Amino acid sequence: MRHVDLGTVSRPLSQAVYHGVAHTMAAGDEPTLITVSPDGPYVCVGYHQVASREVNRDYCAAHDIPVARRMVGGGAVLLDHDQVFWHLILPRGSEPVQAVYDRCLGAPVDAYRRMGIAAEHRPVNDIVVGAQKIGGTGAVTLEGALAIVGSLMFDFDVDTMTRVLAVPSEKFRDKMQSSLRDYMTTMRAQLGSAMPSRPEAVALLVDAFGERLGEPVHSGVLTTAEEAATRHYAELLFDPAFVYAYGSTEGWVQAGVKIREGVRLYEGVAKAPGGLVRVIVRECDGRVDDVLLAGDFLVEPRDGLARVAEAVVGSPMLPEAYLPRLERAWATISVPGVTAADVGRAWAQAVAIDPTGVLEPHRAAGGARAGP
Amino acid sequence: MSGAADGGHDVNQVNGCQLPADLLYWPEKHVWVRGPDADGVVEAGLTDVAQHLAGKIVMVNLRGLGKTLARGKSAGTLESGKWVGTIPTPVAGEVVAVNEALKASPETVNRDPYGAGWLIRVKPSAWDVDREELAGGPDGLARYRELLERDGIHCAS
Repeated sequence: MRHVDLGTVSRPLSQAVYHGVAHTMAAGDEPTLITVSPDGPYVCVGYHQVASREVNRDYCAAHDIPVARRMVGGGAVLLDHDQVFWHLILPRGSEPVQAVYDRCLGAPVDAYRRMGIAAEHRPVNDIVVGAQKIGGTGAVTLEGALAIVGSLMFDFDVDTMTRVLAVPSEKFRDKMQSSLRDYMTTMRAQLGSAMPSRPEAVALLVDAFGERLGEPVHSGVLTTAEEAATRHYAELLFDPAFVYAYGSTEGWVQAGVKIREGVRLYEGVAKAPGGLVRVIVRECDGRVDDVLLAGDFLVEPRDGLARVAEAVVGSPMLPEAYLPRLERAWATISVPGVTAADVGRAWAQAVAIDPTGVLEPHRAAGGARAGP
Repeated sequence: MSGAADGGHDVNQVNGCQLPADLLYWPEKHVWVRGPDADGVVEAGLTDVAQHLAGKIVMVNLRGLGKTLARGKSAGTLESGKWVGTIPTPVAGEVVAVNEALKASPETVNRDPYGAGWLIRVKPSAWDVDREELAGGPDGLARYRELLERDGIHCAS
């Protein structure tokens, strides 16, 4: 296996390189492992995403954060110099996608473990430490090759992540920040001052890939053809005409924001005679994990909404399960002009996918996720 | 290995993969062709093998409607588990219909790859030529079986 360590490169090259190498790979070529970091932050959306729904374009433009669209699937993510990307490019085979992940993701898991981090592969393709994600992965079949990509997460800028993505409200942004802190982790969070240097971490990763794939590893450089293909993709993937190619009725649209596999954050609103009801719900593995109820109405007692929210936490994320709990708790508080049914409507709107794909501004965050 | 009935059609099972006997296949690309019908239009989709290799499909993006595609060119893309792959058209010609229902329920390709999970309908531009390249009948199934066995592909999991 050839290992190409590119160190730090421009943002477009950091994303384009595995596309270029995959595009150029022929049957019988040896596998290639690339390690690389970008020289600054950028947003990268999944191939099928509607970027205009996912990204806060104004914020990105004002802060020199370019937006790319990769050929790999999944959701929008913030990438920056605090991550070392790894890209494994293999000649196209005939294994199921899950089997490829199972075979390859042992390598970053092994590398993390050798650093002292109790990482595990959580199928389909997350790498987790307990309940927290430390890196997602993705894959693409491109011409004659399969590229599997991920990153070593040295650190992660939660605050910027919640600003580069389109979110429906400031309250949602706050909840997204706390959710990312609850459900994401980094090498810095895990190891503090014992965190390895970049070269040390890369060496651990490369050794682990060599062992897992049973391939002796040698250092190499990109060929002229690979460099040319990479330059082509560097232009394509960051071209706004390509990034924003999907209109609002195309592409892959999901309700809410993915925090990690199994954890999503949703927001919905509904008008009631007493005022506007806002519901922010976090789902974890099919259950209600956290709820924030808010609105411009009077509540007695003052902590009434928090008590109602507490009453539904732990319920399965099904209306027949959470609505009875909601109604029982709502009956113990006084909110003139707002009923439990109004809250239920806001909740239903939060988790619904707008079938037309034409969303209200407060629903603009559909389908984003927080991790590569 | 064969003879199971599915809606009146013979379905062969090879390494646990369902392969209806009345279809034509491009085994290396794991796509099938049905037809042509009275209007000369053929229907195409992914085989049971392809949906098994992909895993749970979450997105099918068919962008070829109205386009004339060369055989093997991409008629669209699909996504499963953050993996993205292309859908090659098995015959050259104009894409006259795409399965719009898959936008709302892409998992139909997993559940019913030869029925409701069809992908495109194509008016072939060189049917006689492309037909020769496709595998059908007992010989065609043998060719597909050989490929599955060579590559160690099993659909039962």
